[in-house]
Amino acid sequence: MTLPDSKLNRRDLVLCAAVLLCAAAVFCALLAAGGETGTVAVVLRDGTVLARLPLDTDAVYTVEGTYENVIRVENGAVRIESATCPGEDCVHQGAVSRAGGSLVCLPNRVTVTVEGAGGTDIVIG
Amino acid sequence: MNRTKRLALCAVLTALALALSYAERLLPLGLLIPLPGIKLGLANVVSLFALCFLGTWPALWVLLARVFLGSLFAGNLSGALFSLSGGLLALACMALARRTRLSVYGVSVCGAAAHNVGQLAAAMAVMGTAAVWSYLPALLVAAVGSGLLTGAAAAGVFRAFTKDAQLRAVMDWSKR
Repeated sequence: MTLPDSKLNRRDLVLCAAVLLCAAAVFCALLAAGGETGTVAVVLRDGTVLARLPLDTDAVYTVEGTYENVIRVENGAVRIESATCPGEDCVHQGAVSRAGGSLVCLPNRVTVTVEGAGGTDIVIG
Repeated sequence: MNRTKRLALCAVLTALALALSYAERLLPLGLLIPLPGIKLGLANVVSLFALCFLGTWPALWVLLARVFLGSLFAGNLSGALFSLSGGLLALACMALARRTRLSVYGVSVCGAAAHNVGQLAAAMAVMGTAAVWSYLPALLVAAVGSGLLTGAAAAGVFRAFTKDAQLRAVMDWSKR
């Protein structure tokens, strides 16, 4: 049985660099796709559209489910203000305002995606 | 290898993987890197060990037992979907990567990156939206770091197993 070598070699470093390059490429692609200012925040749960919140109108929208997410639109940006889920990762994601930006709450299976004026902006990694 | 010995070794590895994934939850990694879904992935060392010392099929059984028992202990089955898709993709990629001339470190990074991609694929299926892929860059960068760290752990284990006579006996079983 041949075991992989247990010393770090040059190929490993090339692989690491390649993975980091991939990350940078995806990041740049996302930035380019999300360059324009968003106009509407789409709230999805389990892939179903619950609400479309225009970013130019301040509003509060609460998603009920396994947990509760309070979504606030303010100053042209959307953020999850509070949540009853254990980690509150969605709250820590801050505010998004650009098209293609998104907020995700895995425990409650909720996503908030910002779309631009061009209509649906599907971001594929 | 004797079937009983192999079964016993698989059971020990499953228990070890469960203990490692529980132990690493005690590390406050979330304070250091405040991103969801980032973890060290020490259980991947077990997958890598099983893959190299026992073969692909035993590694798969250990993985399935670990995911099933782990989600049973954690008490949620939606977590099992994420661990399963991540674990399976990681195992498949490591099985391919170990046939190349990458070292343990490289194979481990492959596993870590594949694990994160698999988890995102599961997240996309659960959430019904492709928006989750915006996490891919952060998760890939984290995978390089955690892959190298768990790779170092695996390299230590591998080195011990090739040096120590008693441990090498374990490897000799697997040849039979």
